[in-house]
Amino acid sequence: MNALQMVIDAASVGGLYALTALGLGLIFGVIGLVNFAYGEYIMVGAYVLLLTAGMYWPFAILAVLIFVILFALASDWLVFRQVRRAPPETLMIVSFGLSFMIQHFYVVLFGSLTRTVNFLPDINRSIEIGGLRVAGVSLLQIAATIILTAALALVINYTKIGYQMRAVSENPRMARLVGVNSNRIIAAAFAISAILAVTVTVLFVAQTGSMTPFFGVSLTMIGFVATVIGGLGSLPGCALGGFLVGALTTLLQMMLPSDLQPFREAFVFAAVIIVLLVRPQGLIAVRSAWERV
Amino acid sequence: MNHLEIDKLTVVYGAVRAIAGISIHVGHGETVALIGPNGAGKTSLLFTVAGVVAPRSGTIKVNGQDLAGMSAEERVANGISVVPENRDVFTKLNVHENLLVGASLRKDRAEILADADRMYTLFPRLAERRQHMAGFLSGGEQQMLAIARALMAHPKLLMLDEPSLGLAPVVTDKVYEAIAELKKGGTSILLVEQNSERAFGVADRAYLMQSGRLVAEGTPAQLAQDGLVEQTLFGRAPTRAAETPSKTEVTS
Repeated sequence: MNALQMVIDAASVGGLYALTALGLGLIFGVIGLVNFAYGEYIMVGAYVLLLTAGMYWPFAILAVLIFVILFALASDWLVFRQVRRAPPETLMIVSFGLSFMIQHFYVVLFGSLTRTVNFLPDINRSIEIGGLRVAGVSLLQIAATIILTAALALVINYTKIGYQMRAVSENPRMARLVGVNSNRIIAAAFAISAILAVTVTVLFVAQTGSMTPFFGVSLTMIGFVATVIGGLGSLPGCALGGFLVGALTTLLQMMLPSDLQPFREAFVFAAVIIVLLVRPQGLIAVRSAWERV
Repeated sequence: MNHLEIDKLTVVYGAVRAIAGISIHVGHGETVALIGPNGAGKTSLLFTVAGVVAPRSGTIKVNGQDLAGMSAEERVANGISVVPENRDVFTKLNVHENLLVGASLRKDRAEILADADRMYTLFPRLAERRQHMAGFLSGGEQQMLAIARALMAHPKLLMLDEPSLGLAPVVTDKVYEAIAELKKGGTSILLVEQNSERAFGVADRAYLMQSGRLVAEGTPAQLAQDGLVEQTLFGRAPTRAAETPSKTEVTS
């Protein structure tokens, strides 16, 4: 395995983390909520793929998309909107509670054991490019990350919903005073974060073919870590943080002696602690539209 | 029918009574000044009318329609806009985006852009700084942007909270020229000020307010004569107040 091969692996793992981090960062940017239930948006989507197994794949993906967007909107409508003006700690605890509730509801529905589905097995086939053997899904992951990050940046910087989101993010009260329908803008942010979650679901399930009601948690944790490393509240920082965590994970996978492999995550989190000690504001202290005071 | 009719309004924050049973009105096309010292409840009154502070009791009617239960956004849609005291421009949006956010409720894209151009004609400084982040503007420029942003919603009733606060006299001149212009255009204006001299220059009628209550009401000429203004603002006898020019007191 040469260096280029490793870069591709790191980028594809990092891509998934970056997408997760972007979804978390977007919601945090707009309403200051660290949404720990975000991993559950990814998880419930996987079970939709399980239920739609055998369906022509574009319809299956469409079904996931519709279900997860509605699920995310419902979580905002039924839960987060009720505590909109609460302090950030309260919001975070509420999202924890919601996360646990959804996980255990899915345990009741589907059991806590791993379920498997053979979704799009073809994209796991390796492709040879210039002597490198690359899994198709890795390329998809990289492409999806680049496309969605760019699309998100365009939406936020150049569309009406984008500047309204930035206005709500900076000063929710003043946004209402100039006539911004903040509930609608926040719902749009949840819907966009759901689209990011669906992308992660599809790629994750295509790659691993398995799911449990708890698999969203570790993704949320890593996505959260990525946002913290990148500078919580900065979207470019979130994407970069995701890639860095991905790269670090891949690197550790290769470098660690095999008896330390099971503790790979411990090393990742140790690196996070070091980053936070050295740069508490995150790696990128951008003057971005998302920076919160 | 009056444009704005506030009847026995009471606003309470925790144990503090910010407004104690105030009744004021603004006629169509009228410019009314609300004068009072810090903590008189002026800002609370504007925010209550704008719909981001809920009253304890009393009614607010616009064109005879009770605003109770109407969200802040709906009030903007009904022609009520506020320019808050600390201006609150969106510092991380550029000048042009600030104007566009002001037109959030409108769908007529071509008309919105034409209106933005009108704002640039009204405030040429803003045209020069169109692509600048609003956070980098001077206080005067931010004040102009806050007014322009409010105008983008086509308000029929514009409420301004201390538009001269913290501005150099020359800049205040500019801001008040713009207010006079709006008045000429037929917009009803509720102008909250500590700078009574400035406000009286443009107002048709004025209320004096202190500790959440109305102290007096009348034309600027009547109120200035009574010496009540100085008493309300500075809490001292009119004779002494006359020795110090009030302008330096207020604008500093």
